[in-house]
Amino acid sequence: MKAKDIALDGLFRQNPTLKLVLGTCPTLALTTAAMNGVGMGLAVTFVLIFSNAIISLLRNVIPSKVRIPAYILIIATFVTITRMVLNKFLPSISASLGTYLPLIVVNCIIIGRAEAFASKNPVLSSALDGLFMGLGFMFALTLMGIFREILGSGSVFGVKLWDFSIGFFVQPAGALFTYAIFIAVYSLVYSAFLRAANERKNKDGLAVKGARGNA
Amino acid sequence: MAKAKETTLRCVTTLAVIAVVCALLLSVLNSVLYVSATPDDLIGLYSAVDGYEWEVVDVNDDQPYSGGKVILVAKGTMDGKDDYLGLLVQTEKNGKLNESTYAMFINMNTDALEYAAFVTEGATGGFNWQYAKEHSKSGDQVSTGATALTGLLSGDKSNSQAAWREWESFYGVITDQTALDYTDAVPAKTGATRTVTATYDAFNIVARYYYDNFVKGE
Repeated sequence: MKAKDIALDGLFRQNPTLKLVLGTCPTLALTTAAMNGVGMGLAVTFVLIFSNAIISLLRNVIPSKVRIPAYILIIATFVTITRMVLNKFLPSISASLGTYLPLIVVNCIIIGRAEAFASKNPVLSSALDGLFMGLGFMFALTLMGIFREILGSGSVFGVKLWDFSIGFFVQPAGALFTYAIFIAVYSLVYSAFLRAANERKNKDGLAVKGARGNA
Repeated sequence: MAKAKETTLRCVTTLAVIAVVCALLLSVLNSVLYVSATPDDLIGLYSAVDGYEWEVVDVNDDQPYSGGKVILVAKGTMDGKDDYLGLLVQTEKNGKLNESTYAMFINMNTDALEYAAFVTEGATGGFNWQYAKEHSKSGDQVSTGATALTGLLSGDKSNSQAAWREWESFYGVITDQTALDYTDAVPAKTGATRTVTATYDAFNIVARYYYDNFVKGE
């Protein structure tokens, strides 16, 4: 698989949050502030890159019957390392992510990518898949965080913009509402993207047929 | 049969090797990335000591305490105000309850424990500290703990015993509500009983530590 396809899949075509609807628990709970989205996204990206790489490296060694416990062991190790690093260097982000940080171990995106991609692909592709899936997750969480923080708290990345705020958007119901809006917008954009791609393909097909006909 | 055994052995060996490598990696990194407690951890927890200067005092770990350990002792001073002792106590992991860290503030002029707060709570489900305060028969657990400590330090045996009884009654109340009261209003929680035990341990450790190191020798 080409690097460009891996990047496009992670960031857009197979975006874990907006297309695959994975990792919804931290998505709904943590997007009350944009900074939480960045912090959670970075943590997940780190875990995804390294767990994907190691799982890919060991894909021919781990017996298929115990692959899930083995993946969880590897993922838990990297989550613990992430937690230690955040505690040491970014304690405020670590505190704001709270219990969702250790819960990355059971995040469907990570175990999903381990099972669907890393266990079948070479190391470099798997690490790239981890990077772009993580960035796609971070991108979606940060956008949702910006949206909810602006409307719910009247600030963005902690910087106060105005006194006006709609408390609903930082409530759990506001999280679901925001998520629905984002998925709807994503679906619209994705449909337009697919239509454009199909039209391009048809045009190219016609051009090839025309060229063959002329020949 | 032999093939099945071989497969099982391979599965177990693979998991064991991965587990050992992961554990080794984490233990190496833990020594590099371990964050020890600092006086900054005491700041912002108790409004009465806002603006105090904190100076770390060496922790005396000669005397082991049951259920946990003191991880930080700092003396807080401010011109014209009472001196305070800030302590961080880490209670041991107990079943599903992870290690918890409590901050406690003792007014050194009155020997009273004035305030206690969670720094990190090890409960896996939300133990409700506010609920515990509201349902304690003898006031909130902080003042109950403080009464017990004052009784312990006063040297008056009857006073001390009364205080300890009061403390124990607080302990019992919180434990009982786990099964009965709590389920109506608040979602069920995990690790509440162990949290109460840990809280009780934390108060005990602080009381004993303060007595052993700052009162007994005077």
